[in-house]
Amino acid sequence: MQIDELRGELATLADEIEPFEGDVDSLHRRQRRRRVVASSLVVALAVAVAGSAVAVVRNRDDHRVHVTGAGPKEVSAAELSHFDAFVVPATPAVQGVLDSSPLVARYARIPHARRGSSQLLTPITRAALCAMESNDGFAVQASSPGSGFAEALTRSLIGKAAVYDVSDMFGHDLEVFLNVGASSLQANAIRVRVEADPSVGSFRYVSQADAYAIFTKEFADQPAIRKSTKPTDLPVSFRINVNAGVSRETLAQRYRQLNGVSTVIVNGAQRLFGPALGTPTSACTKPSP
Amino acid sequence: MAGLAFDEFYESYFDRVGRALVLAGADRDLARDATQEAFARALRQWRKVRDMDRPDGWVYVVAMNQLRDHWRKGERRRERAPELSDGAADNTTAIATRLSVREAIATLPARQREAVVLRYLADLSLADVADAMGCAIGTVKATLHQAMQSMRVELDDLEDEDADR
Repeated sequence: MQIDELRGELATLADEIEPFEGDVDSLHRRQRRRRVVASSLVVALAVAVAGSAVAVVRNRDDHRVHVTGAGPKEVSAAELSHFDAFVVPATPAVQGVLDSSPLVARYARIPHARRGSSQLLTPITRAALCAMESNDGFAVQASSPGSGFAEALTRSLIGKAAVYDVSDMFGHDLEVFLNVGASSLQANAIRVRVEADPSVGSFRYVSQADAYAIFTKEFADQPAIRKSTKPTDLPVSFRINVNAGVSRETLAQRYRQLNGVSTVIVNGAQRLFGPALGTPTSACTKPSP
Repeated sequence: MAGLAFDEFYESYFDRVGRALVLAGADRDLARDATQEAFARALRQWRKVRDMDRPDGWVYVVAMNQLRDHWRKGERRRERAPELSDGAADNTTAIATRLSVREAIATLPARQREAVVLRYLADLSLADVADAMGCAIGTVKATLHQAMQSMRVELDDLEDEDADR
């Protein structure tokens, strides 16, 4: 037999095999899910970036000689497990507003530094990190979290400082993501569990519509990702703030084992004080989409 | 193939790659899964893959790697004949040849079967076959030689072809 005959015979044999029906749509769906997971990683990565920032504060706090008195609501960054906004610059006038405002529960000082950037950071987080490359800032926790906090604080600080609303990313201790397409039965079972959990201080359910609104904000500068994602591609989640003294990791571990849970992202101290990311590049350069 | 749309590429090659894997010894489910996984990876880096000389060659290589990983984990034995039907043929010579090829392929050791399918059905270069099989080009040549001997393909012919590559 000649090589060409062999080729011909192989082709004939291949033709005799029952055809394979592909499913290209499932590949596209899978690709979109990967992007959704990437968007979850945005949270983890941004927390790590901010964590490295806050870790610097903590280390400095340990050795710092206080020249000026700390405001009554100022805490060390280590005590701030979640926060809703960055305020830049951190001037005495701004500190005066934060201390007197009923909107503000607590705040911590973030010293200026170059903390690195990533394509995965959301535009608003990147803008805040960029502003804090040359000015100190404050990480601020709202006394009653809600969508109006950053706007109200902005009005109180007009002419004094810029307010960056990072509540979607840092405003909760942990977030429990369900699988994409988890049944409402599974979501309800988890809600019942969260409601009854004595470790949980407060929680918010993030529906697919809410998740999509957050997603479009987070990917405002990446139209290609935004365009290829529908609300139904996104997982619903529960954003949880834990009671004082509760281990976020232990709680997260418990929720990870529940039926229908895909992942749990912890914003707590362990991440906040994790190691800094690699060599910082400026956050002020806009990444290409 | 710059500008090639992924869906079009998938449409053209999914079936071919799946069939090649069956000929290489995979059962249908494994062949489908490995092929789908290879295309999923192609989609993830489509900008890079579409600009290659042989995007399909890349997919064959990745799919074959999937098979090998699967087999290495010992999840399913593959020392079995490919699933082939008793296809009708047009004349006795063709029948005889085809039967002998089928029989010969079925009895080849797995590595030789992989090499033959990648080289003479998928039409990959020796270098690509080596990539797909995770070995040196020299090993591929030796493996093909052994396969050709078993299948009684004229070795002179094979020597000539290898010399061209």
